Amino acid sequence: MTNARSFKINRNKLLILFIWIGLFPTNLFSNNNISFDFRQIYLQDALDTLVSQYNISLAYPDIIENPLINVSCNQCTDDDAVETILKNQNLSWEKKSDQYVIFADRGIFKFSVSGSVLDSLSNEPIPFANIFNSSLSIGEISDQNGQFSVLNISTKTCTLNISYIGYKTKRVVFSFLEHNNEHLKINLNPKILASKAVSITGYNKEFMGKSESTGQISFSPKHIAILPHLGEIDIFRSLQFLPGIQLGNSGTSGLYVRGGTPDQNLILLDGMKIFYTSHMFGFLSSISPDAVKNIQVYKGNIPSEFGGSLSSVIKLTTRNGNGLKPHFSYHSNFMSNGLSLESPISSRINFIVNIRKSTKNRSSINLYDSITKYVNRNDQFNLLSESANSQINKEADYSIANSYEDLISRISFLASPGHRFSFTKLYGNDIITENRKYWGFNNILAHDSIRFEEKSNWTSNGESLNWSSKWNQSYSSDFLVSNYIFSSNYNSIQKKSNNTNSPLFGFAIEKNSLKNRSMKYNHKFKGFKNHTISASIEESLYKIYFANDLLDGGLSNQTFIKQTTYLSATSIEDNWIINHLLKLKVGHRLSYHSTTEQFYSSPRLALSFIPKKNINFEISFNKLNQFIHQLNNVKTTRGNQNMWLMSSDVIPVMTSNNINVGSHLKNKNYNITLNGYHKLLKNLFQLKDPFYTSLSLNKKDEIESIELDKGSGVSKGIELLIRKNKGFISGWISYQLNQSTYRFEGLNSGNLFLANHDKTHELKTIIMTRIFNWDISSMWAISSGGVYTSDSNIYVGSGFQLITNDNKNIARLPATHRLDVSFSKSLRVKSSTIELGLSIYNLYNKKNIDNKKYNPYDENLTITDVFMFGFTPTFFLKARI
Amino acid sequence: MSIQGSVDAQKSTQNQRADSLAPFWIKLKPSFNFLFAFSFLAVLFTYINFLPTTFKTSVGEKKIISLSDGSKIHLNSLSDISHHDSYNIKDRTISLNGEAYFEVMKGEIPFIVKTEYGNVKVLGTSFNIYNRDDGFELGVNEGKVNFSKNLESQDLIKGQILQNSSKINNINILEKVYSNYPDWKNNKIYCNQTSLNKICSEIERIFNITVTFSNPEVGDLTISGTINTQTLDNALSTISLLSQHEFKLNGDQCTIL
Repeated sequence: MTNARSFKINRNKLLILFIWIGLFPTNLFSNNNISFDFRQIYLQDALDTLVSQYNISLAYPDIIENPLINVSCNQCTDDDAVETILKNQNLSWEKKSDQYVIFADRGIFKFSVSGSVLDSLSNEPIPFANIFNSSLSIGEISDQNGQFSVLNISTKTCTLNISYIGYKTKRVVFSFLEHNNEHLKINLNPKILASKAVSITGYNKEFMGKSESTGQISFSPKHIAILPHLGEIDIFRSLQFLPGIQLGNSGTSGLYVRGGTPDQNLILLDGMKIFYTSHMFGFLSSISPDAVKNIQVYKGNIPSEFGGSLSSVIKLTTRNGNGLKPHFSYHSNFMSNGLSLESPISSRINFIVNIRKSTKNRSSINLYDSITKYVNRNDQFNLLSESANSQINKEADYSIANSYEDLISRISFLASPGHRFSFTKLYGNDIITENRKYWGFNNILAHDSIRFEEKSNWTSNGESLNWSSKWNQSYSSDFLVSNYIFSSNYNSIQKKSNNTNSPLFGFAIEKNSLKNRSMKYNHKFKGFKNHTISASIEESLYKIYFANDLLDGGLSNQTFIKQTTYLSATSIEDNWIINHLLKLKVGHRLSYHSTTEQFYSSPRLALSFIPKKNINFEISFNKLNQFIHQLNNVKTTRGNQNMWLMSSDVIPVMTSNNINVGSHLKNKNYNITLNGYHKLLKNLFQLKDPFYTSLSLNKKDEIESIELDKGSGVSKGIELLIRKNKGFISGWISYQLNQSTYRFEGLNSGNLFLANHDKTHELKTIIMTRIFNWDISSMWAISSGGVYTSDSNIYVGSGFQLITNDNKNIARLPATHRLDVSFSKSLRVKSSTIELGLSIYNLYNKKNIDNKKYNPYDENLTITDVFMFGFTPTFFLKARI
Repeated sequence: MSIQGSVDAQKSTQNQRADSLAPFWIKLKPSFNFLFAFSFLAVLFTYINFLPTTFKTSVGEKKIISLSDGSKIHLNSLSDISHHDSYNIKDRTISLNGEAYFEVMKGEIPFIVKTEYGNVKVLGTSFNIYNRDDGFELGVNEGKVNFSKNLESQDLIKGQILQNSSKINNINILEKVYSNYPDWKNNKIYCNQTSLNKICSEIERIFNITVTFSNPEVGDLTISGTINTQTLDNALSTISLLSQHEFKLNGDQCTIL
């Protein structure tokens, strides 16, 4: 009976899988227009072919040169075909209502166009829009204010394609006579119009854009609500659907990029470095998607203007807000309520403010309950509680209340077409109160009946001021001042549990803060032909403060750590288009670290080879340094779980040598990207337990010595992405093969072991479609299980510490898979839009094991499986006026 | 028939007048004779088809003419065709000045187009003839066409173009290289090393303007490809770009500077 049932379930799963695979390859290749491959053909004969075979109206004087040419074109447009044939010829062309005229150039042109890319409906600048013409090797990206310029166009006429995720690509023909030195406004039309009650457009909502390099992703969270989610519509959790970023299972919103850990990411919000991006113990991310226009993820080659992280750079650009009329929106889901307001104050001043607050009395909601249980699973106290439940004459009681809120706001002032000032404010706060009662834990807690009252508070607070200027067509600059504070406060008191008025016999106070003040001035110069030179100077001040005051019975411990570090960096980078086949990026970043009084060099090199318009190969080498380290130590109490330490004489500067190779292939409907990476990490370290005892401080409360296990690591892997952009069904399949290994002196007998987050295989598929105005999306993922240390290699040491001497992380959990689906719809009621949706996590309720839990407090060490979330529905509602 | 009727009518008048007004009869006699002679000639002319039917287009005008046998003739600007009334009875002969596209219905009687450059004989095909002072061109879209001049004769098949740049025998046969032949029917000018002078004459005919070159040498520049003639402005700016000379349009006077 049981067998029969399990077979049925499997068959259902198979069916789902088949439907899945079946949905993908529809609409393979749509009609193309012009294809040719001319080898040793006279130019004029090639032009005649366009006239005779493709019926293009094209005329040329017979006196133009007539060399033998070798060009080819596959499924290209009329413009592309003409441009391709005339590539590298000293000829110009002009197009006027379908008539192409080719003529000989007289003299040398220096033709430039510049402008700004705007949303046609809201007048909001579109950052990171692509401005390209592959035949002429033009590839520009608009800056965070939508500004761009294309210089040194050598033909009299040139077609530029302007595209951005979720907008219709616009083709604009610029001619030397009409548009030289003119500042143009280019309005892009959104593919999906929210204002249309009935949308008959065949467009799909898009997330990923065309990016410059294979190791970079441009992501637009505009339509993020249609992707499957859990609890909240979450930017970082959605980023985990992207290739090269590990699906954080159900545990964390942190980003594991190409085998790196979340603390190795540099996260920038409008240029401000942020060090804490989550709510609810890392389960949710704290940046509301409504406020963000674009996310750039650099996982391969990292431009030299960014430094200080080993794994990736995640650059978030907030929205400017609607520039034409005010909008107000409200959202609600199981977890939180939010408000968003955007409005122009004058024609030049815009603001947007976004507030989110967790709903009260969420303890009645199952989802909230399961999240808190899930994230606290490895907490020492919770392990104790579990022991209590399984043992006689021991008992425990636990209650938790949690709330969070966040705010993102931006105000921007357009002083002149070329100068924009903007101010961004970020605030996030989490408060957790916990009450615990224990009976019968004399041996561990020193008292038979004891009560803990705990309160933790995390705050992330920052602001940045940005002045971007476009001085002329070839020179622009960006000045940034930012201030950011992350602080955590943890307070706990111990009392006798049977009497609320009993005297205090223990307490713990932990305070921890990270302050960062940065100034950055970035310059971009395009004055030399085929070169774009960027240079920046950056000055940062980091202050770390850590205070610990413990009284536990007779034991008292006080620790203060203060760290002040100045980090100065200069960077220079040349983006050189050698010819139409080769592009080279050479960059260098030099940092001076005030505590170690040393210079750190970080060279960057990337070479792209573009043999054909739709094929691209890339290889890059980066050496990266990281000066700030997050201590993720479960042994420290909760308040310090996100503690950061700066490099010093005793804490090393981590380095990573990254080699990335990638190739990119595209046609009208499909994009295929294949990447390989190898990262060699050095100067990694782990603290020897416990943290406080190994620490010695000098008079200034700075760290003088600390016991560390130093080590190194290697992350290597392959990632493959197949993406379908158009048609009834769109989406992507992403596969990642990865291995992350570490070797530490004092761990695992100095032998190589797999990192805790190592997952060998991960396959993710996202499928999106639109049926009867319902957006339906689904995500199916299968991945290797996590690694763990088997019970034969783990034992309990003194003070209930878990010790592993050998064979760490040698065992692997069974593979996990799940299917998430989401249904959402936009309704138009008078002048307001209502979006509503249902998202179901783990539709077929697969019991996936996330990790093994070791409980040393039981009589014998017990190991249990921790399961990820089962079938979990989430509902959301958003109204916009 | 008509002459009989008119004579009877005259006779009845004569009888009335002869009875009462004799001098009038005498006075009317010369006019009667004149009338009689005129009617006779008219009958003669009708019977021998002496007077042909002519269709004409002025500058910028295009016409489609349907003939009694179902054939169609597309007449380009500033062109004319003519045929006798015996068309499709004795023969199917047409004479052409200018340019026209022929869609000839299949028939027993050969269809012949007479031009100053030679005669084109077909049974039932589609073809285009350009017949102007600056040259002759015959292009076949369908079937087989025979071109003859004096004693020489040349067969052309579908896809071939015969060119004769002067009235002296100098025949040149090309393979047609572009679809949608003939160009003028699709508002295009197809050029194959065609001089700007010739292109501009075509533009003059289409738009009823006069094009002059400030520097006559510019007119000798030869062009290949196709030129759109949907609008005058487009056509002129194409000429301007090709010649790399600006143009000035004053009313119907265009000057290529």
